[in-house]
This record gives sequence, structure tokens and C-alpha cells, in this order.
Amino acid sequence: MVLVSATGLTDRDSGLLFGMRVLLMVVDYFLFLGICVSFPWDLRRTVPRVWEQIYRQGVSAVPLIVFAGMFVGLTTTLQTAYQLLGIVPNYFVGMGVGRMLLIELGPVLAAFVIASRSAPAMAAEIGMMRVSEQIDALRTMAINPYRFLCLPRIFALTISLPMLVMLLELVAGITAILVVARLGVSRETFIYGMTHFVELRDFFGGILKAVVFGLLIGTSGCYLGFKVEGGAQDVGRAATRAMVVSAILILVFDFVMAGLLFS
Amino acid sequence: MILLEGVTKFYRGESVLKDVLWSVPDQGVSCVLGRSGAGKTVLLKITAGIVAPDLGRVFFDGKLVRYGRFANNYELMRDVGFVFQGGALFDSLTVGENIALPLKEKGGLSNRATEQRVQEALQLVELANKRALRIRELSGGMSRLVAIARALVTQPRYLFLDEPTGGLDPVARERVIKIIGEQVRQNRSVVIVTHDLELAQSIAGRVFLLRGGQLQLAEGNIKKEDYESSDA
Repeated sequence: MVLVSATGLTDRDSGLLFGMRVLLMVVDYFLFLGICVSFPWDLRRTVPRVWEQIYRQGVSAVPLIVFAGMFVGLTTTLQTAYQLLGIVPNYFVGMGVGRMLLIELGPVLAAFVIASRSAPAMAAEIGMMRVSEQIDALRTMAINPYRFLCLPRIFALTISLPMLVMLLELVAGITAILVVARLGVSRETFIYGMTHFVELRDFFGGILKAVVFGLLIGTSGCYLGFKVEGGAQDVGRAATRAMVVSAILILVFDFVMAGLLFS
Repeated sequence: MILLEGVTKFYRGESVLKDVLWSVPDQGVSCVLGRSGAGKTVLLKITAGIVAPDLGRVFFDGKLVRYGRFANNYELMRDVGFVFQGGALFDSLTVGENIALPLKEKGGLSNRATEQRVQEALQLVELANKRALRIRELSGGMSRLVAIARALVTQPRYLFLDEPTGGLDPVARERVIKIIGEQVRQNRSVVIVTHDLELAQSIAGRVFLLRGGQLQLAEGNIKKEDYESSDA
């Protein structure tokens, strides 16, 4: 049976329209990314702005990442021990925790923490600048707003997220080593499992994921900020969307990259 | 010269500008009068190359202005100074940093020359002692004057002002009028959109009325009813 809505469109038509809209948005998103990072880069002016953004998006997130890392380490160790102890040799707990942290939990959880912090902030900041005509003002000053506002933010996140991922993995690893003895696994056995069964590919694969996630978070925040038209309500909506879109993109690209890197 | 040819702009399905033919000369003051919502700001932004018309074309010194993300109008923009109604100043920067921004981004000037230009701009608007203040620490009138200083610091050929005297006290208003007069003496072209009839009559060489989306040259004695009452 073909359902016809009040607009006269069948379910199939609505589905197609929705699909077209999503496709157009994806194309628009990648065009936006291209415009933001396309050459030529004015390094003399861009580098200081990238540093400033690295401080705002990366350095100031360090306490949050340390806090998150501690709990990621605790939870991962507890759950891995719960699942494996008594079934396989104890060093498998160290291997499980190490590989999970490097391949999946480190990059994805750090990306979620940073996405929840930076993407809405960027969307709101750029959205407010649009509403208050500051972006138009940049154009009248012969300043390219994409290069001035987006390029430093996107670069800063692409550079700082891998660093934050490494920090989270380090803190989580140390926390795991500190608590594992209380679960009945000796530290030596745990460290043996962590170091002998983890490959360099695991580490670099995770870091590569973080680079892509950083790029996605930065681009979605800036893209949705630039899309704001109207007032404060639209700015709020853009901030929420930036968070949601970043989270979805992280999950989708996590799957794509897992398939490419670790399958 | 800036030329608008058959410019039409729609807003929510209705045309705010209809087939506008308009030229902005290289010198003198052109003033557009219209009631609130008549499309004055849109007209000004289209003329300055910030907003794309839905129909029609804009020529800047004979060159067609292109729009869209890939368009590069930045060379044209170097000749434009624009004062937005709300100021559009960067609140994370100080007064001095706001004014210096276009010069620093443009490049080509030494730090000393930049400093000198910023100082001159601040003196022009009589705010030299406010240089270190943040934008949020300024009154509305002062913000307007800082916006004017920022627009003038690059020494543009065209100065666009959106409601330059709106909401200003008489002293600040006089100061703005004085600054506009000085720009005319320096052979700049000044374009003002306003609903301030007194301002238009006191300084404008050419006054236009924007009614019903159409632009008409005003001749003779203009009355408020001519542009405020209703659409043409």
C-alpha cells in the first residue's frame, strides 16, 4: 500500500526528498571544508591564531581529559577483569585493556569529551558573530571569514585531539595499573599483557582516528555556526546540532576507520 | 563608480527590492531614505558587495561583482568602508585592536605606520583616550564612533553608513555629521541609509526614497510622509 501524506507526497517521495536533502548537506559540508582549508594559507597570520585556538580547545581541556582518563581506566579494568578472569590467563586482562584503550576507547571517548565541549562553543560563537554582522564586517574589511575563523579552529582541533587522546590513554593506563592489583591480577602480569600483545599499529591507528575526529568536530562546529540565520534561538539550535552532528560523525567514521585499519 | 542594474531581492517570498537601477558616484554624499523594513540595509549591503541580489547585477568600477563562497571580492572590498547599524565590533578585542584589525590583515604597513593610522582614526572620532577599553565598556554612541574609525582606517574610496545617527545623543550626532563632512572634503563617496530626514537634507548631495522596493530620486522639498507613510 502506498501512503500519501497531506502534502500529496508518498512515503517513498518523502524518503527520496529527505535523502536528497541529506546528500546536499553532505556535499555542502565537504565544500565548506574545502573552502576553509584550501590554499593559499597565510602562515604569518594563521599560525598565531592556530596557537590561540590550540590553547582554547586543547590545553584548557587537559583537566577534563585527565578526569575522564581516570574513570575510563577504572571502568575498563573493572569490566575487562569481570569478563575474563578465571576464563583465560590473567595477562589477557592487560592485553584487553591496552588494546581497547588504544584502538577504541581512547580516541572515541576523548573525541566525545572534546566534541561536547568545543563543537557547541564554536557553533555558538560563530553563530553569534553571524547574527551580530561581525562576519559581514570581516568581508567588508577584505578578510576571508572562512580562513580567519574556521581554518585556525579546524587545525587546532586536528592537532590537539591526538595529543589529548594520548594523554587520556596515558592516564587511563596508569589508573588501570594502579587498581588492577585489587582485582586479583598482579601488576607485572597486567603490564606484561599490556605491553606484549599491543602492536604499534594499534597506537597509530587510534591516533589516526583522533586526527579525523578532530577534523570532523572542528568542521561541524564551524559549519553549523556559519549556517545560523536569525537570532539567539537559532544560535542555541546550531550549538545543539553541532554536538549531535559531531557525535554521529564520530560514530560513523569510527566504524569506517575500524573497517579500514583493523579489519 | 558602483552600478546596480535591475537588482531585485526577495525576502520570504516578497520582493523588498524591485528592479533597482542605481549608481553610486565616486564622490559626494548619496542618501537613501525609507521607513523601517523598507529594504534600506539590504540595498546598502548589496551595493557594498556583502549580500547577493536574487536578480540583477552589480558592477564595481565596471567589473561584475560575483557572489557565493568561491567568489573573491576581497580586492573590491579594499575600497569599501562599512559602518553597520549595530557596530559589528569584535567584543573580544579592545577599541585599538578593533581599529587596527583591517590594517593588520591587509598587511603591507609597518607596525609603526599601523599605529599611526589607528591613532589618526581615533583622533578623528575623538576617542583617543578610549583606545585600551573593551567594546563592552563603551556606550552605544562610542561604539558607533569606533565602527566609523574602523571603517575609515583603511582610507577607503567608498564609505557606507547604515543609520549612522540612529539612537545617538545630539552631541554624538553632531560629531558623526562632522566626520561625514570631512570625508566628503577628502573626496570620498559616502552612502547613507537612514530614516533621519534632517540628516539627509543637511549633508546629502543626492537623496533617494526607497518605497515599495523601488528607488526614486527625491526632488524638491521632502516630507516625512513621502517615504514613511506607506509603500508606493
